[in-house]
Amino acid sequence: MGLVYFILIGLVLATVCTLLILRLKKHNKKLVKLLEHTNEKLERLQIHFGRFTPEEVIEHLTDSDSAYQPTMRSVTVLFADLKGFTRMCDEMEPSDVVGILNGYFRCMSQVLSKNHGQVTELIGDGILSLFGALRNNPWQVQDAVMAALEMREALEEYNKELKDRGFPELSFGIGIHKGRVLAGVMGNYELSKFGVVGDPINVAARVEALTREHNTDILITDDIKNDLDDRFILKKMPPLLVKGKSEPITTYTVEGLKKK
Amino acid sequence: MGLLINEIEWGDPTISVFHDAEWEAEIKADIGQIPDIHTRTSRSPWLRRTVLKWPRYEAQEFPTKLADICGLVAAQENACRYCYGVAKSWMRLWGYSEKMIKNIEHNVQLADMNEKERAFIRFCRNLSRSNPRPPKKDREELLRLGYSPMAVAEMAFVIVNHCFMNRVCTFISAPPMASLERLPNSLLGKIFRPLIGKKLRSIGWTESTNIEGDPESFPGVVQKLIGLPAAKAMHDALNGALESDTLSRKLKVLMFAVVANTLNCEFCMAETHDMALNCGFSEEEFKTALATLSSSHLNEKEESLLAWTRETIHFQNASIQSRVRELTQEVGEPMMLEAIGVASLANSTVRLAVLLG
Repeated sequence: MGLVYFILIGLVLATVCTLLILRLKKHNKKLVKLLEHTNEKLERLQIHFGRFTPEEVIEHLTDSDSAYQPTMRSVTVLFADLKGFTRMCDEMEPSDVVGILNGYFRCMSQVLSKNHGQVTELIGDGILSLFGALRNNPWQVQDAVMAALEMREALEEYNKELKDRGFPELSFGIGIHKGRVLAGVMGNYELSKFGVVGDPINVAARVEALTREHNTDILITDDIKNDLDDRFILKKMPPLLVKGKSEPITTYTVEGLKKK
Repeated sequence: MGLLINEIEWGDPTISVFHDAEWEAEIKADIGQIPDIHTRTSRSPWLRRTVLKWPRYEAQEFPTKLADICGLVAAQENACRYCYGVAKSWMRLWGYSEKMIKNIEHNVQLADMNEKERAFIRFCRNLSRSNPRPPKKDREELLRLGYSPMAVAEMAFVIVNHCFMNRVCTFISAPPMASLERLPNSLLGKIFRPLIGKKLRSIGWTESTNIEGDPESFPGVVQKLIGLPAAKAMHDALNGALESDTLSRKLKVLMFAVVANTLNCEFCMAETHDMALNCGFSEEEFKTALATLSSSHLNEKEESLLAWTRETIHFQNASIQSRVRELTQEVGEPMMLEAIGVASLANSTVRLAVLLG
């Protein structure tokens, strides 16, 4: 009787244990599935987020516990802006304007990326691009000027396409300057973004505005000229005062590359 | 996290197969078969030998399991489709579970591993990446966790050794080894897995001869590896690359200097500066060559290769492979292959120096 009792108790215990193990296994399987699903979601989010913020910043934010520390960096700033675009907006269908603008951004971004530039911001019809912001780049000044020259060629090509489609041609101004900027994730809890601030950004924008005064398309500052080698054909422009500066700024227009 | 194997862009080969009967017999005697990559690198004596030996380097100072994982992580971080397929297949044939491989690939659920192993994987990922620079704090973390300085130096060598292979195979766009990749899941593979795994282990390579000469005369990065078989392996590869006459020594020194400057490695910048002055550049010429990526000491083809070196540091597969294809047309296969080897070696050397220098 005692033996049967012990066998029964043993059987009951074994059954309970098996049921428990099975339940835990099921639970574990569920957790693994949930984890995989969450992981997939995170990967998708990383990919989409990559369109708004540099990959390196995303990796830092997802891999580390610490916030992205703002840093001062020496960069070359290229600011490009379309001329007469506001008027074009008033005269054309909004969908056409957006289509033209998107095509322009696509062409210019390709040229900038090819020349190691990083498109940091699109401000209306303006493009802010940095060279040497995320990676050490000893050739950042040359890269920026080469990018500007290739942007000029790319715009010519794009204008042919626009002309064929019956749209007006575009023209732009480009300002290039260099200096130290503060890069980091800026904003508040509800809305923040990776961005850069500093005087070189403002100067590049002001120099771009001078392209209208000097009736040219690419202008660089003295600091850029001093770092360029002799491959580039430059023409000195008369110094002009710009907003926010007490002294007039000397700029140079980049005409092209010397033949070898 | 890097891309997964089926997400990697991969084009047609940029360098064609070149048959060298003597070399093929040597490969067959060594590893029993002739994988495609060895026939594409066969034109360059130092490169083909490095490609044959380095991926089979047997770590002496740290566990084999970590060395196995290293190949997978480096290939994934560098998005090398060829090496990724090989590393994944080898791991399966060595007996690692599909689940474990998947967890490493996704960089998740690494709870089965201990802290030292997780720190190693982190180190491996960071050193394999081209940006940011390899962080020294990762090395310090490994030392803190109890690995010896020698073990960490060898880990770094094994990682950059894989990075070297990743670059060579990516620039050549070596066709993935489809038959090897199918093997772990095939019936034969499943039945004979232990045997195949054992055979694979048996072709491991370690440098058995010691490095000869005055250690002071060795390149700085080799000096940091003295005491490990890796020192001789690194020394032979660097010597082979610099002594080869397919490209001029001046171009090769500049290629190393370009990588050193981009990765901001002061140790290598100083070494390449001295090497440049020793091979005939004046101070000013060297400075100008680096600033403009052109020099009166180089011909037009060499200038194209020097400018291309920049692209080998941080790259997207599609664009680098298409650029290599264009350049191969311009400079010819022998020069391009040599440049692929030198640029890949420069990237690995400088990364190692940033960490150990």
